[in-house]
Amino acid sequence: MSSSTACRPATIAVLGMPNTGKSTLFNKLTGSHAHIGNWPGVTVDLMQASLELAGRSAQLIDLPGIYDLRGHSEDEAVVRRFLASTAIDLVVVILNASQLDRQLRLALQVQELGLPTLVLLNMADEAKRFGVSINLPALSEHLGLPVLLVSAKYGRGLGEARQEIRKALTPGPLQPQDQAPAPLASATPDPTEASQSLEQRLALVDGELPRRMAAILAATVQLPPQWRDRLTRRLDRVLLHPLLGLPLFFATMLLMFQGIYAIGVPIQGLLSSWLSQFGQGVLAPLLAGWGLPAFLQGFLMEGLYQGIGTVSAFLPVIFLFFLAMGVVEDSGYLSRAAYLMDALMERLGLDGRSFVLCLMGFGCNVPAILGTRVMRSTGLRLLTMLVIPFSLCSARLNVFLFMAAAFFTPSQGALVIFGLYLMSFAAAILTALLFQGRFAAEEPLVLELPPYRLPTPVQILTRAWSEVRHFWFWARRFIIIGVVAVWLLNNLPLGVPPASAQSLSGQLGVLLHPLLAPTGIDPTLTVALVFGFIAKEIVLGGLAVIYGQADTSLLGQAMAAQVSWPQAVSFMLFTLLYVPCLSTVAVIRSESKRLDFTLFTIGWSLVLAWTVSTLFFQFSRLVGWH
Amino acid sequence: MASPTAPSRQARILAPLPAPIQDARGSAPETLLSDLAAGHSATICSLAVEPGLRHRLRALGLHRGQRVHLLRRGWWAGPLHLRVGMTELMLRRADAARVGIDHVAVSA
Repeated sequence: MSSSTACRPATIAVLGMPNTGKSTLFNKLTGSHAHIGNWPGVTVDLMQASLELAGRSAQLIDLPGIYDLRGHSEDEAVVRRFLASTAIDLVVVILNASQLDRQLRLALQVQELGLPTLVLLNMADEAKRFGVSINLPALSEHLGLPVLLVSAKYGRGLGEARQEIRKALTPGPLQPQDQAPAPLASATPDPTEASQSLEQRLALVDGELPRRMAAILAATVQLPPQWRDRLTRRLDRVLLHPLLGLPLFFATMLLMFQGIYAIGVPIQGLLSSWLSQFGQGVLAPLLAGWGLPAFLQGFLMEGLYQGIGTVSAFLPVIFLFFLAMGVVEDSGYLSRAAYLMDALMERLGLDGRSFVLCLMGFGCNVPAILGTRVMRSTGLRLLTMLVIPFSLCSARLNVFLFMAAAFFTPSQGALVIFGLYLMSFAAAILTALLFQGRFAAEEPLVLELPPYRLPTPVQILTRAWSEVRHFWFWARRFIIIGVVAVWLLNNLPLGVPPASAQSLSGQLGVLLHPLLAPTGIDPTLTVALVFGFIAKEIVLGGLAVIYGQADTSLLGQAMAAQVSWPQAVSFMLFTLLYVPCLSTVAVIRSESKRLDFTLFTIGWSLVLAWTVSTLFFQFSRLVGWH
Repeated sequence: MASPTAPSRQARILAPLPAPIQDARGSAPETLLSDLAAGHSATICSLAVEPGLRHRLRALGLHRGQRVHLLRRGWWAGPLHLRVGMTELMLRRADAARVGIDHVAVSA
């Protein structure tokens, strides 16, 4: 090998149990904004980031949080496969310092692999608060590994950690730097076989592990004689109260949503009218000045600018939503929600985790479906995947906020939105009740209830910001493609009045109208629904293009002139219940690995959407709400 | 889809709790973790669970000889809230019924 390979980037695997602040530490070390999860199993995709250490670059890989290297979950298999078949320069094991009494086991398992390893005891602040004291030099000596105490949340001990990593990556005098480490099981190129050999290695020492662990703990760790976390004890007495617990949780959620709307909707209105004024006052004259053809001018202004502008005005609401959800999750309350709801969910063939994933689906369905990986039973996983798409995600919320403002007074509008949330729950419960027999699950449930924690503002803001960025990058392509397509369909063939019956979209609407006539959804709105199949972000942008208004209040007036309020509600119900977006369909397909199940979720959601919309619209006609 | 051997959901809910586990000597039936009253502590003496759950419980600190404290029992036959060492966790009653305990004592 030539000396140029000396710059080969080092591979560092970051490993730890769920709830150890692993992702926070990963972010602090790399400066990247990976997703932080207080909920076991959120970090399911392998996040990777580069780190520059004294001239040498390193790739840090954030492995999924696992409990046991010999465990049976999918995440645990992923980690085993990764450790066995990748050439790793260093394993960084992150343990929760205050729970060393049980987490030391994972460090001992990793130690058995014989890889270069650094042990970081995170949450040093909590360990101190709970009265856990650790003799670091003694622990390090017993393990034969470097051990450091850090607090990722408050940024303590990170400099030392970086230094220790650098030291571990610096080769000894006899070891040439350009020599890449071999994977653990280099004899077998097959990852499955490799991870089996790793498993056998661990099984050999499993018998003596408890005795070793007890001996090390006795010599190095002192636990408090009494439980010290009085705050958690007191809060749980109220928040997990048998009668008050659930009402309190739902009241908190309601308050949270009210707060988001109270702050977010005025901001959205302001932003939307600014964007519209900027378009009319600055962009439109500019385009006209360039002498572009009218068709192209219309395409850029009424198609692209209005479509994207309408959607981006809602980004502040989405930011607030992720901010609030981040607080609920990182404080430890979300795990309590799983505890409170488990009894009900068990009777629906689901469990507490399904409920938490559905709540996460209120942000975006895609990560919620990825989160079902923490479940081992196929039946439970599929049933949860069937239910999650009914969670009213932030993209659908955009549409509903806009329509509620257009068709109702503010107080009625709030009720309509609340009703849609109830409908979202009702659809999920009905679906679980109807299909639990087909997806019977027999999975034990044991979940950690972490102590209550006060998330730092930086932690929460960083997280909400990265979620919004992710949402925007993810949605942007769909939105741009979608609004362009809607505009073209409305304005082709050339020369027809935009969005008239002669235009392509008009023809499509007329074609599908017989199917949707019982729901009261008119041909124009039908076109918006067709595009909503791609992504709900497009629905609003599409409506802006169809009605030629970007300012949401003007758009609302234009719509209200053509659509009655029962039609609008029927449209909202349909939008809530049918296929959320192509991304969700794609992720259901890739996670379930079953085409028939994926088609079934699409079919069932369409049937339910059509039925509920039709029932509502026909009922409204019967009682004469028109 | 359910494996053919898995009992249906209804059957599981209606079925009586698993029979108390006999200890090694086959003498008096043990007390089960699912029977422990809130506010009481006990020591685990047997775990009649499948290997997957055994690994998970072990990693969460639940193993033979470990002392546990029951903080509360969930409403509507909901899960148990336990403290094991420095960790708190929830465990479904059906699963707790597979864990044998002894040395029941009210903790201070």
